[in-house]
Amino acid sequence: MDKKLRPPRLLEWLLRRFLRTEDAFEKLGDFEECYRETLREKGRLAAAAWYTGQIIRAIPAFIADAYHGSTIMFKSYLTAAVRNLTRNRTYSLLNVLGLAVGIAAFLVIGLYVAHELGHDRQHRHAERIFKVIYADQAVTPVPFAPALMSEFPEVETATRLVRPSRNLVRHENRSFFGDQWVWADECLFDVFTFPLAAGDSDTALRDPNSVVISETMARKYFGEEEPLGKILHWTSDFQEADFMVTGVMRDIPASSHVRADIFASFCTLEKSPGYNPEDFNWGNFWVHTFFRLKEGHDPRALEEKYPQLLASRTGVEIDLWRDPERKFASRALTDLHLRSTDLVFHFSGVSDITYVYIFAAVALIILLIAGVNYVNLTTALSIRRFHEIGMRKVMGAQRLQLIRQFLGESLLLTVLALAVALSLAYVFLPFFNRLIQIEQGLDLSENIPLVASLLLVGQAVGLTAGVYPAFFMSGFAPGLTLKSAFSARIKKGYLRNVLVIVQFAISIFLIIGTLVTFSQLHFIRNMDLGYTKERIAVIPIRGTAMRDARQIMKQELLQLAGVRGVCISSTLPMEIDWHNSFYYRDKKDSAVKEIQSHYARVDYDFIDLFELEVIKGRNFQQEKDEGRAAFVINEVVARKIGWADPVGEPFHNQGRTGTIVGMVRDFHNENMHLPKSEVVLVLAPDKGADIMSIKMDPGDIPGTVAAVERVWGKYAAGYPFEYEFMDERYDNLYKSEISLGNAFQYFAILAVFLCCLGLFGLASFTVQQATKEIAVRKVLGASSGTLVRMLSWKFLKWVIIANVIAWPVAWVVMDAWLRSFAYRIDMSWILFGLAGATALVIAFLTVFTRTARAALANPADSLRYE
Amino acid sequence: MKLLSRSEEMVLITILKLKEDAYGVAIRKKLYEETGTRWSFGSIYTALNTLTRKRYASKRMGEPTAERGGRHKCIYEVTAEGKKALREIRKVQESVWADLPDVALD
Repeated sequence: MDKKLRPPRLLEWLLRRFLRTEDAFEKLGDFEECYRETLREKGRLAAAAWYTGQIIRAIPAFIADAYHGSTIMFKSYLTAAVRNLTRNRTYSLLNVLGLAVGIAAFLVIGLYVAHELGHDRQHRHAERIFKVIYADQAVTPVPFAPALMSEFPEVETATRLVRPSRNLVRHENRSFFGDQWVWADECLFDVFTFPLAAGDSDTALRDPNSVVISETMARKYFGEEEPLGKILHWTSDFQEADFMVTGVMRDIPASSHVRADIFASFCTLEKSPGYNPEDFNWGNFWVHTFFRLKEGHDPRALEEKYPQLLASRTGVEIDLWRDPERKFASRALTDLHLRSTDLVFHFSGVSDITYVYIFAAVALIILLIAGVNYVNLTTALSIRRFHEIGMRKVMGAQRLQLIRQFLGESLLLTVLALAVALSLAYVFLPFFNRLIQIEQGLDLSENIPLVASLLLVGQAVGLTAGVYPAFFMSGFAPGLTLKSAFSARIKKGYLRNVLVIVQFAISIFLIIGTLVTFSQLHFIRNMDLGYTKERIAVIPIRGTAMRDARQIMKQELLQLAGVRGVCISSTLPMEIDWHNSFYYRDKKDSAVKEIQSHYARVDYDFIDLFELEVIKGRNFQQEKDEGRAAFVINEVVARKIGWADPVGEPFHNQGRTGTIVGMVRDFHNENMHLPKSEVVLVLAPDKGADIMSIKMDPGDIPGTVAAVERVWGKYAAGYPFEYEFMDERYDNLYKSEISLGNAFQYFAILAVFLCCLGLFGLASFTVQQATKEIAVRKVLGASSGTLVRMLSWKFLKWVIIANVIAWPVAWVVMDAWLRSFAYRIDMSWILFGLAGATALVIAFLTVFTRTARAALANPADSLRYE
Repeated sequence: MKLLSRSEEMVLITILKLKEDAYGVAIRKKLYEETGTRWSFGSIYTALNTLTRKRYASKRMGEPTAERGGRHKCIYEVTAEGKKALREIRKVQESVWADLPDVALD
């Protein structure tokens, strides 16, 4: 009966929470009286509602009270915090700095990962945009896009894109070389979202000789003048023409796969004087075809219909590539940047999702290490504050106040660390941009959500770090904490030991990763390639004037003092990746058979200049081979065909029949991810041979380059001088591996540093707790050496366990990476041992500094207070 | 004279009127009867707090009742100082009102 009249227990309990203890009984009584009255008059529901209302109304006063209390004590807390920080100056600095460095690294890598993953998302309906590919090629014949539009109603719109080699563009007296010029259909702005600042996107690229330029280009060519209607003069290797500016678009961000400074109307090509109908039939693969599917259609279903589209087209050129193994397919635009390393002839550079994953993992690992360290070290440091907690309790501090004090202090420190982290990230971003070679640098402002989420992460770390002193230490009886023997009562932290082991395992893994990456890169750079790449400058042949005069230019270059040799070829020995069909007569049945092979067009000096080794027959010779087709093959070709001695065999390619004059030893004709493959050197230094390689004498190389530039100037007709050294270009083949290696190196150093910080903290913590034990042992006759050994062993065994965990993992992961190379090192145990030893030595030094001091101290110092 | 707010003044007068039984619920009931509005406990407690701090009212423990879940009442009394203050307020008010002719309010 009585129970029914009383307010619900839960509500009463809640209300009591919010009331001040000293007058709770008065108010609870009043409220209960009113509750009973309401209950009698209006029923249970109304009474409960009224009571709840009272609880809610009590909250503001409760909060105000709490705030009032904390502001009064705030100054005291702040003083305590500052004193504590300055007393442990080194630890505090290391602690805050460690967390800051970890967060900064995470922020920087996070920006990179978000940038990579966010590629091509800026287009409307990006998920419905696709690119047509043919087997492993990202290019199609010219008529594909129009056929898509006319034959398939589910294709909403489509555009062709062509990226020619670099061009010279001029307006009045301002001329620039190398701005990215792209031919595009009028539907371009329909498929992709490239907003126009001026001009009409529907018609801008409709007429021949129109261009749409970016805002940067508009400023570059026209300054402050109105760009619309202005004329740009364009000069390519083969032709020149005038174009009218019909639109200005906003600059295309670096996160777009399709990128250009200038879009020119595609129809210009079909109307140009250099128009060659053969280039525009179904037999030539050289344009990029993008299309957008209507909503609700499946790209796979469309792919199924491609054969039927081709069946309706006939012609010799189609039969050439009608191969059941090679099919047309579609690739999503959003997969192009990160998931298309299986394709060749991309529109622009692509990256590998694996590297993004690796970076993301490394970022998380570093953040984890830093966070764990911070928590561990803060906890360890707070142990020293038992006396403060005891004093505060004696002076009347409530537990809640202590909790608030320690949590607040920890949060304050993390805020400090976050500020440092942001500044660090800001300072190191340019450095990181160079390291990973992103075209347009990353910027903190580009990803505000990431920065904001990091603030939350920081606060979480701060709260976790504050939990131990706030909740555990504040609960001990004050008398106990004031006794100096108290610290011995703290339990051993098993979790903490596990964390240290994990941290070290990760560091050792990163060290091994760095060592393996560098060894492999060193191996690639220094292995016998089968050709030389030393002191060879490579210059392109630009413009019609230079092309016509290349033989004269070659002779002129040979006259220069520092030049040892010159050759003209279509490509360099390390980049022979074009392929073509060659025909030969089979010895057994005398039938003409076909072999697919990579090839390069070369002149008489190619083999000598690059020091390829002729093992059968001879090099090309002017007196014998002048005016006829001649070929030199490598061992792979001979082996495939089954020739023991290929010299003198007839060989046919692209309408030219000749003989094989020699065979060279196999060399690395592509990057080391691929095995050595078939190579045919074709003696044809005319058409398509647009690279001049100049071998120089050691000595005054800059002087020789300057002399080469003077010769270039005579034939350049306005093209600026370009040159590149072959060994640098070779390194470029391994750009992603090299930047990965560099990044790994820095992050491994960072991880090891952070781990040592953690270990240092823990060592201090443990040694501090064992002070008495050490003193007693010393009194009983233990030597300093024994003590150091005993204490150090405690930590070093963790590091050894970490090694045991890290080694197999590292072996598996690095082995998988090495397998992507056709030529690779064998992982030796020395690398593993080295990584383990490094970790051990660093850990020992860290622990030693702490333990030695404890072991050398006078035992009386720590025992006299007992 | 320490100034009193209107609500403090009314609560003080109510305590005086209730004599021996001036505690939270009773004060609130009496104020409702006289003013016709339901005062919130918050405003009454605030006024009581201020009055106690200014020493115009004092607080003592009363009898526990079943109605309150067996809790004691908290009974307020007006102190001598409080009575003096009320007298002064009344005097001031009467003299202020006295100057005002009735017609001015119409």
